[in-house]
Amino acid sequence: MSPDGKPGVDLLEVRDLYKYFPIHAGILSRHVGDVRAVDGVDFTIRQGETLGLVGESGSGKTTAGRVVLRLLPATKGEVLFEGRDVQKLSRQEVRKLRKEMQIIFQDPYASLNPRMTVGDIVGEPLAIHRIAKGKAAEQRVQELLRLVGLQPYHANRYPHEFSGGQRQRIGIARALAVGPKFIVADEPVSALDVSIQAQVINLLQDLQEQFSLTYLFIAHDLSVVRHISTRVAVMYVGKIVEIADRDALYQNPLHPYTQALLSAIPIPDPAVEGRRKRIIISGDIPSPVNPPSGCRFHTRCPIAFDRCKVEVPPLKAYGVRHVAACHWVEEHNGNAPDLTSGPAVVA
Amino acid sequence: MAVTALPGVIDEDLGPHVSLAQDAWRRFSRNPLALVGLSVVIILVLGAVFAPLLGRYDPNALDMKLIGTPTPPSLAHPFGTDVDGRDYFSRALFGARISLEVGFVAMLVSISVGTIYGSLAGFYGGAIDAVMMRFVDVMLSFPSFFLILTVEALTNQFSILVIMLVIGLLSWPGLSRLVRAQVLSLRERDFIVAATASGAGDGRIMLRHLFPNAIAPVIVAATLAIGDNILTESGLSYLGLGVQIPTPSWGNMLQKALDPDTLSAPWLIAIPGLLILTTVLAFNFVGEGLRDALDPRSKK
Repeated sequence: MSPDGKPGVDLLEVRDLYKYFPIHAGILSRHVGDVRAVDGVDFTIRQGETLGLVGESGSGKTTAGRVVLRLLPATKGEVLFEGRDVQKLSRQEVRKLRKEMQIIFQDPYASLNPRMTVGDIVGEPLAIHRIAKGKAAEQRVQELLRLVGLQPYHANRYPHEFSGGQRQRIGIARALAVGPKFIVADEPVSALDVSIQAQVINLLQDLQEQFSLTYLFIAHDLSVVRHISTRVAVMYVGKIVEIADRDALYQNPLHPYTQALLSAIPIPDPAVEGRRKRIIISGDIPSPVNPPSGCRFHTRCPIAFDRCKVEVPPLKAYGVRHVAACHWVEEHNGNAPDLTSGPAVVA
Repeated sequence: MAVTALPGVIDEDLGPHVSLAQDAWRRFSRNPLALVGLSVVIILVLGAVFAPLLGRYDPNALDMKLIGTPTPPSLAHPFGTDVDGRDYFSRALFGARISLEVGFVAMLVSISVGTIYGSLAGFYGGAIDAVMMRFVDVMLSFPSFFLILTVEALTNQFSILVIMLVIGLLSWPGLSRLVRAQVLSLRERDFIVAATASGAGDGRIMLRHLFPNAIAPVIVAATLAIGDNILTESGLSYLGLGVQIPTPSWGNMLQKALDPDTLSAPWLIAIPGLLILTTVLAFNFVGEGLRDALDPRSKK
């Protein structure tokens, strides 16, 4: 459901998407393997929705975002934006696509050209797409700066003169310059102070409302994702393990990995926090070069059984728009395991 | 589209506006050696430009009364005269012209070739980069001074223009490596990805994003290259494979001064020697100063 309660139209559909980075070794550059960053991913985002994409570092979420924007070519699979596969567009069509889809980056220091003024940075997309020039472009830049909470006179300044939060606003103004429909926000607040995070999140929400934007919000902070998302997808070593509407996911997480992630969120109430049961999973995230067989989570899963080691669990629907990829859940009729109390039982 | 300002407007003051150039100058001017170097360079450039006004004598004119014996520095001839009775001060001034000209033009040649070559290799990467860089490896495996000597000896061309071109065309490979490394590291930066996401083409990305960010080390390398080129030119002229007498150059002045007959006139050796030393040192000091001043990470 879109935020206004009406069923939305699909804006973006990702079908069976793969992105492998080949590894070459030796003087002959022999192909010795692949980093399987995105390894068969499906999801859809409806018009006006925010899909939160969460996962540990190295789970492939950033790569997925870049492939969706056609900043990286896909190895296999389709990315349908308004029904058209972005992988198959011509150069001219890609140029047009850049006006529809934009990106906001994690690191507000690396994402702004240090040798350009803020006015030039925000105005560059206007020049590229010949949206406005001269006085009109200047005015548009000032409008955009005001829109993200900056002052018009900031246009003459250089990025190094701003704080992290202000720079992130500059990056947002640049993304908005072309009037996009869809924005990939790649961990847009994880490099900011907590007090600034809230400001930027609120700005993103206000902008979404004002311009009916659709977001793919990539993050590893589950409280931030809970705040901003309408739906949430959980990624683990290149695969999506669970997707559901926000409340369904947070209240009834099915996949053991989702449960473990959610149990790691601290609760800002000492009394409740003291009783919070954490699900500790051991070990590190496996290498995407050589992912585990069967279910990728079986090496760390407290309830893994024989089938998990050999058979890759497909995403299956349990309840309304709630899908998960777990053999245990499947064999227990869609019930979530209770991992907090000894041997796994139905929660 | 209609726009209303959203809440949460930033109202902090940014502090006084400091442009990138002002900021760089502030850091440069705090480095005493760099300032000394810059002053020396300015004096040399002024001396070279106004050489015809400052020198009272034609640098090539022989004074028949003084021919045969060098005269020590005096009021009439501040640097004395050489064995052929030529005013050594005028020769030093016109020598500065030649040295700075060769140093500067050869630098322009090597910087242009090196920057374009390195940017293309770094930007396109892959097989193009591999082939281009192997050629650089080959170029760098020759000792460049001897390569220049060989080329000079083979072409038997000693006009100043040829010397500039030879020095310039044989000293770019190191620089192209530097530029390539810069471009390689910049290419992956988020602001380049942002430009691509905004629809910018290769040309715009190179000119507006890569080049301005790669230029600082190029400026430093260019400054150091002027000093190196002056040294190379002096070496060539000293060996008789550079600027030919009677045209004055510090290198051929030094060669002439080492004539066994004139060893008794030490100022003839000291003056061009000290000029070469001071000039190269001055350019190196300026280069080092620029390195610190242009590095945005050294926030002193």
